[in-house]
Amino acid sequence: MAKATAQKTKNIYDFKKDENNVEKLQSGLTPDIVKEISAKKGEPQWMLEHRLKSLSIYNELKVPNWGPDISKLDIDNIVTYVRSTAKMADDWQNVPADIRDTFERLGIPEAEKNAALSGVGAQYDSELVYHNLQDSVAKQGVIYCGIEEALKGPYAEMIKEHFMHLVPPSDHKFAALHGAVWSGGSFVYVPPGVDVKVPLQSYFRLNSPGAGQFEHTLIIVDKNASLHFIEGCSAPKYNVANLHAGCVELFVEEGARLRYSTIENWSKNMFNLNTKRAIVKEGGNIEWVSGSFGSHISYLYPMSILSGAHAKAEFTGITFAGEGQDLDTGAKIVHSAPYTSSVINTKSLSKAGGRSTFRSAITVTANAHQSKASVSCQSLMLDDISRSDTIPLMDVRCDDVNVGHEASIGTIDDDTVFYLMSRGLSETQAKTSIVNGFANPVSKELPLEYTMEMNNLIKLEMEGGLG
Amino acid sequence: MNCQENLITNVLPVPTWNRFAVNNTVLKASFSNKDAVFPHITALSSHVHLTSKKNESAAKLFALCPSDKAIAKIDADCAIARSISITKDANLKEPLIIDFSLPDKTAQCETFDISLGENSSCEIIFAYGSDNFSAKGDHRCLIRILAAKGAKLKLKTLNALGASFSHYEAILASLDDNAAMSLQQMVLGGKEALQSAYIELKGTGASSDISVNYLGHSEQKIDFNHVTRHLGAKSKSQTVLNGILQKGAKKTARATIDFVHGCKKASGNETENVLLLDKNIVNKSVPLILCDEDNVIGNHGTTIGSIDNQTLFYMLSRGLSQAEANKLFLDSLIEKCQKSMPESFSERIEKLMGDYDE
Repeated sequence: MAKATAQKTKNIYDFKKDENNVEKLQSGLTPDIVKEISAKKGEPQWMLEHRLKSLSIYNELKVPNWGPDISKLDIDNIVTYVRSTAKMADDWQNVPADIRDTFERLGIPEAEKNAALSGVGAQYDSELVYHNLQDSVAKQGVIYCGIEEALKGPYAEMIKEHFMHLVPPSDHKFAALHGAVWSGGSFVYVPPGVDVKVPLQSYFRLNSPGAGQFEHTLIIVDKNASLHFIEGCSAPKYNVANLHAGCVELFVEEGARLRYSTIENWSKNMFNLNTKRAIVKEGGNIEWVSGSFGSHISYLYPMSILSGAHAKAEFTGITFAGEGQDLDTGAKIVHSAPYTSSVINTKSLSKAGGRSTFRSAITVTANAHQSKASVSCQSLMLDDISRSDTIPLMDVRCDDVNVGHEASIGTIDDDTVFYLMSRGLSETQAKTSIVNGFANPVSKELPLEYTMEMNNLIKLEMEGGLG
Repeated sequence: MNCQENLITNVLPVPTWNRFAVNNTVLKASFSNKDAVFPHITALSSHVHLTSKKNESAAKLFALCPSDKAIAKIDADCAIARSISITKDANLKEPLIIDFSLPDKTAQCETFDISLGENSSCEIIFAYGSDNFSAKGDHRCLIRILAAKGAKLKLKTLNALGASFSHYEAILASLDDNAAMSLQQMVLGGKEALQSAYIELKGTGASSDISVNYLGHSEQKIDFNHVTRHLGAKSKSQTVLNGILQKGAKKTARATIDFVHGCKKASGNETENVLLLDKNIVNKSVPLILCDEDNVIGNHGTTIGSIDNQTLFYMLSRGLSQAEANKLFLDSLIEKCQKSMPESFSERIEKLMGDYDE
């Protein structure tokens, strides 16, 4: 992966594949389409009922009256299910050549080969095409498989107990949409006390124009276990809207630790309306590391519910909004138990007319005694045609707590640019260096390969933008 | 005139999640305007022109809060309308005091338009009290300010109403080049206090300094909305909210710095400190920075919590009980308000606090 990322050019993510041997449902959203998706997957009856109920909720709920304008997203023009006719493989050689080539160009098999990952899942459009877990990790009892596969196997009951319990379809309109048409995604279970030393990774690629991707990721890290999970995503750019309305549900049990890292680089015709949520029990710890670079419009606010005493949450994020992008990102934390603590630390950049919004919510309930929360948000405006807003919110209902928030907005200091230029850097190089320094608190939290990927994305944005 | 409407007010300039109920609040606009209560106005001089009609130029200020239905309604239905003009280059030495003593069953709204001539300077105080602590009433006030080039205004408002009063105060202001306004709002009373300020720093070098001190108690509802719009280059703003919540008080504070495209080299700061002294309180804080201009500096900081452990430990080690330590902070806030007002108000504030303690 390191080698591949080092060689990335501005077109590395923006390549298209012909739709060969592809099965595609008609666009739009109807009960028949939902039933057809369910039938193709041979799901249990409860899941079909869940889908239909979600569809009904979707039809009742309104689009948000806050956040970026999504009026140009017409669900009637979105194909909710597209799949390759090939079966899911556990060997890259058995993946169809054009799909394998896609992931090779993105550096996924190479990273797996170099043992930088404990396991890899790769989703292409609506279905997983590859999934594998290293034997040594499997022997520890770790389960990492496609969620649809898990739905029919020995973990079926566990899936039923957890699926969309943390993010109910009634949560918002696009959670309901996800509940109706979800497809693909991963299931991870880490048994009590198991420390997965090397990360697992799922990569999502959306190739089909006008399609939606609705993968569901369900992770359960049992008592005193630990895991680092990495999620990556990308798509080629089309002239029609694509939609991503995935859902991530994370269950962190007593004393467990989960780090969930995401580098999101969807194409700039993508509506990214993703929902991510974690519940953390006593003494547990959730860490989110999030880089948002792609999408035309994004609504993304990973939420952590600290339900057990001494539970902790940390969110570290960076958002870079370039030309044509309106990225509304941030985090939500709910302190609902005593002695819980949380830290949100974000950076956002706006350039070339891009619009970046930081939005957060800290909720401290009446029984969250002795809890602490800290929010820091820094924004950098890189020109005078862009925009940056910060919209934090704190709702505190307990007296003996400590909640702090700080935010700042500014531009690159001319004197610093002048100094760097006097040392031989061009203006672009000087500004790129400053931006890399600004992003450093986030990039240092990522594995080396992803730090390089993020730095390359920043460099490409600074030098003229990705496709 | 008998108005019984629910009006949307204190609208957050950019909405956020609805479930937190902070995007706006509702004002029960119950005003009959019967038997209008006129304020006592002191320190009028030859540089101050007081008339009983509105300043038509002030109507343009409604553009600062287009979604606010309460402000427009109060202006349309006000029982009392007064215009105060300060002449060019005038420098008023004594504060102009507009003092309301509101009786039981008050239900009125009024509009005050204040215009400051070029390079004039003055201090204006609006004080609201009820003629007895148990008096009930609804009082709504709209203050509109136009400050010409170089004008300087110190505006202070004191809410010292009894525990059964509902009070609404909206301040709209537009400041020309190098004009400066300091606004000090002191919220000590009322069962409901909805207070807002929308300040437009229109001219180059215009500046505003908002300072809010509040004490939430007796299940009081406090709802703030402070919006500073930077239009002028090199404009500066500061908004500081300091408050204490206890005895079931519920407070929402919205504070917005809005850097409009073109306000090069503008700077804005917001600070909020909330001390929580009791259980069953609700504190909501929504500090926004909206930025459509690159060459600006915007900062915000908030701290919400109880007395920090080190400070409390020190106080307890000096022989104070927890209740006495809490009272020290309460007294400090009240004293700050007393010192900001002319001496004649000290006793009134003290009596009000005594009534609340009982």
